[in-house]
Amino acid sequence: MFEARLVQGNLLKKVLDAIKDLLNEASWDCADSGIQLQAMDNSHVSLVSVNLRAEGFDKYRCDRNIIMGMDLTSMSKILKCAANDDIITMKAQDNPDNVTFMFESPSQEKVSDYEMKLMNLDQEHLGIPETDYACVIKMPSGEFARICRDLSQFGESIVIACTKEGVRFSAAGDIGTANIKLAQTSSVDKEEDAVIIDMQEPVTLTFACRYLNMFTKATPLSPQVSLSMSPEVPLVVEYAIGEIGQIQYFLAPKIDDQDN
Amino acid sequence: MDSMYLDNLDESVNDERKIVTYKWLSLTVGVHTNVAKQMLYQFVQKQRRKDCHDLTVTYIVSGVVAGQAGQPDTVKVAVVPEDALAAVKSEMKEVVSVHVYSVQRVRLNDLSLLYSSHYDTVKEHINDINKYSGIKCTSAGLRSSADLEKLKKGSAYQPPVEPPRPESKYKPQVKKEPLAQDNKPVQSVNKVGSKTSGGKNNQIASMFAQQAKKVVKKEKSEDKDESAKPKEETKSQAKNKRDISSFLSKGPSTKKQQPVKETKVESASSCPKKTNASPRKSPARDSVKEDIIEVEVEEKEVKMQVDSPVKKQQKQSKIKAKKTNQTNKRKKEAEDESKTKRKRIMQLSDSESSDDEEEDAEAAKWAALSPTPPASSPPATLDTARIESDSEEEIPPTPQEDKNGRARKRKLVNKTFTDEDGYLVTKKEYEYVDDSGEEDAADTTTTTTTSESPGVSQSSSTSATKTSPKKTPVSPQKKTKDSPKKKTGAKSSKKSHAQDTKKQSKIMSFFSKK
Repeated sequence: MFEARLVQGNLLKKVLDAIKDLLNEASWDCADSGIQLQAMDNSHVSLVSVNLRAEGFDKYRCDRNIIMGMDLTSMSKILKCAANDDIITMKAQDNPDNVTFMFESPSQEKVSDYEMKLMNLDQEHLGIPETDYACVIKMPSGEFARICRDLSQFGESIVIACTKEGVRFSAAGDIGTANIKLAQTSSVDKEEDAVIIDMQEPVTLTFACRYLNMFTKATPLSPQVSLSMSPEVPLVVEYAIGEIGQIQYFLAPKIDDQDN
Repeated sequence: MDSMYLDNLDESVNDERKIVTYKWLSLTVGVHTNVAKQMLYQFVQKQRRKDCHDLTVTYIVSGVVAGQAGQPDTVKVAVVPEDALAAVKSEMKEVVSVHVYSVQRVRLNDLSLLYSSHYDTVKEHINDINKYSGIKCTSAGLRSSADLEKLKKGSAYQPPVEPPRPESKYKPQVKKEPLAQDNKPVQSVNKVGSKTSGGKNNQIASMFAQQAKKVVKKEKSEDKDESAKPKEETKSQAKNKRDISSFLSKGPSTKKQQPVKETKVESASSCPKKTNASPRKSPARDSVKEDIIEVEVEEKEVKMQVDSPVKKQQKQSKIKAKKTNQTNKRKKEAEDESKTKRKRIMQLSDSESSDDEEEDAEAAKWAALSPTPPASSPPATLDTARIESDSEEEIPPTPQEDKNGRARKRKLVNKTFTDEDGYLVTKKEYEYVDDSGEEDAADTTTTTTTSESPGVSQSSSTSATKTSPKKTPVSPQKKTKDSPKKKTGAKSSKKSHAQDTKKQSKIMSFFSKK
C-alpha cells in the first residue's frame, strides 16, 4: 500500500510542468524515504532527477518499494484537474496497475479522484557520482530563465563562463553576439535575490539553449536556482521543490568535436 | 635589398612558421611571381648553407609525360614535396621547369595546406590577381560602366562569339551570376537572362501578355521547339511555372509537377536530346491536376519560343516587359535560393523539386550532346582537370544522406579549387556536417565564395560559363555535382560559427548505469 498526501498540491502540479516537456514518460520510485524520479530525455543529453522526501508530505506511507511507470503527459492532464489550493493524495496498491490521484478542496467540500493506468517502463537508472563542483552559482531563478530566453534568440548554444569577477552568459549566431554578465551581489535584503558565486577554479562550458529553456520551466517552483559546473562534466541546474525536495537537471556540455 | 627580403622570409618561415608559397610572397611583397620564386630559391640555398634541416621545400614541376600505349604525350604540372622530386622528374620524358613552390618548416602531410596558406592573400587580391603573373592577355580590358549599362538594357545584343557551353552546371547558380549569363551567346538565353531592373509592378501585366502571345503563336512555337536551345527555355519556363502555380493553387506539389513536365519535355518536342530520357525520369501519372499543369507548361514554353530572335525586333516592347518580369523572378529566386539553398540541394538529390526536373531536362540534353557516358570514372588524380570533373560526378549520391535528423554526420565531400596553374583540383575529404544548422549557413558561404574568388566559383556550378572546352562534355549526373560542392561551402561556414563546431555530448558518457 502506498499513500502520499500533499497539502501543497500545487507543488506537484509545478513539478509536472517542470518535467513534462523534457520527458514523455518516467518511473516514480516510491520507497519509505520518499518518492524519486530519474529519467533521461529522448536524446539522452539531459537527465532529470526529482526527489520528494517523505517528511515533506502531510501523510506518507509506503509499505513496499514500488515503481510506478507513468505517462507524464497523462499525469499532467490529471493534475491540471486539480485546483491550486487542492490537497493531492496519491494512492496505489503494492503491485499496482493503477494509481489514484485524489484532489480535495481545502474546505473538503469537493473531492475528486482520478485513476490512471501505469506503464511498464525500462528502467535505465544512472549512478550520479558525488562531485565537488568547481563553481556553484546561486541566482534568482527568474533571472536565469530570462537569460536563457534572451540568449536563445542568438544561437543554439550558451557559453557559461564563471570567473572570479562573476558569471558571463554568452551566445553567438547569425545576427550577432550577446553577452550577459552577472557580478556577485555585495549586499541584498533577501537571499533569493542574490547572485552568489562559490568558485574554486574558473570554468567555461557550452550548453544547448534548448535544454536550458526546458529546465527553466521549473522556475515557478523556487525563487532561487543553483548552477553547478566543473570542467568536462554535466551542468547541474537545481531548483528546490518547496520544503519537500528538489529537482535537478543534468545537462551534458557541448564539447569540441575532436574528430573534426 | 637582397638581405632584407631574406630577413623577411626568415622571419615568416622560421619565426612565424608560415608556409610561404611563391604566390603568397608575390602578392605580399608585390613582385613578379618569377621573382618570388627566385627569392624563395635564394632563401632555401641560404638556409641550407646554414644547415637548417627542418626546412622543407615543395617544388612545382612541369614536364611532358610520355603517353602509354599509343596515347599522345601529356603535359603534367605537379606540386611535389622535395623527397618525391626525383621520382616525379624521372617519370617525365622531358622536364620543362622546376621551381620552388613553397618553403615551410613543417612537414606537409597534406598538400591542401598549401592552398589554404595563401588563400586569404589571394582572396584579398582577387581583383588584380594577375598583376604579377606571367600570363597576360593584352587585349583584355575592363568593361566601362556604360557598356555594362547597355548590356543590361539588352539593346546591345552581343553576337555569339563563343561556342555554346554547357548550362546545366551553372544553372543552380544562375541567380548569383546574372552577369555571366547575360553575356551568353545563346539567343533565347539572352532574352531570358538579360537583366533589367524594372519594377515588380510589371509582373502581372506581363503575365497576361505572355498568355495572349502564346495563343497566337502556338503553332510557330512548336516548330521552333527544335531550335537551338530549347533547354534553356524549358528551364525558364519551369521557373515561371513554379511562380505561377504558386499563385494559382498550392495544391500541386512540386513533386507532382515534376513528372508532368518531363512528359511534356518528351512529347512536345521531337528534339532527340529531349527524348533522351534523364535517368531520374519517373513515369508520368495522369491526374487532372497534372494535366492542368502540363497545359500551363506548354503555354509558357510556347510563349518563350515566340520570343526567339527572329521576332525579336517586332516584339521589342513586349519582350522588355517580359524581361523585367523574368528578371524579377530571377531575382526573387536568387533570394529564395540564398535562403533555402540547403533544402534545394536535398531536393535535387532526391529528384523531387521542379528545379531538379529542370536540371534533368538539361542533363538529358547534355547526355545526348556529349559522348561522355555517365559512367563512374576512376578516382581523380591531380593530373588534368578533365579527369577531375569526371570524378566529381561520381560522388553525387552523397548529399542525399543528409536527410535524416540533426545528427552530425561524416560525409565524403569534394573540395574543388583551382591551383595556381589554373587546373581544377578536387579533393575528397571526410568532414562532419551538422545537418540541422547547416542550411542557412550553407548558402551564405557559398555566396561569398562565388563572389569573392573566381577560382572557387568556377569550380562550383558556374563552370558552365567557362570557356574552356574541356568542360563541354557534361554527363547527366552533372546536376548532382553541385551538391557536394555546396557542402564545402557549408563546411566553411560551419567553421565560421564557432558555436557549431561543438558537439553535443551524451549524458550517458558521464554517468554510468547502476
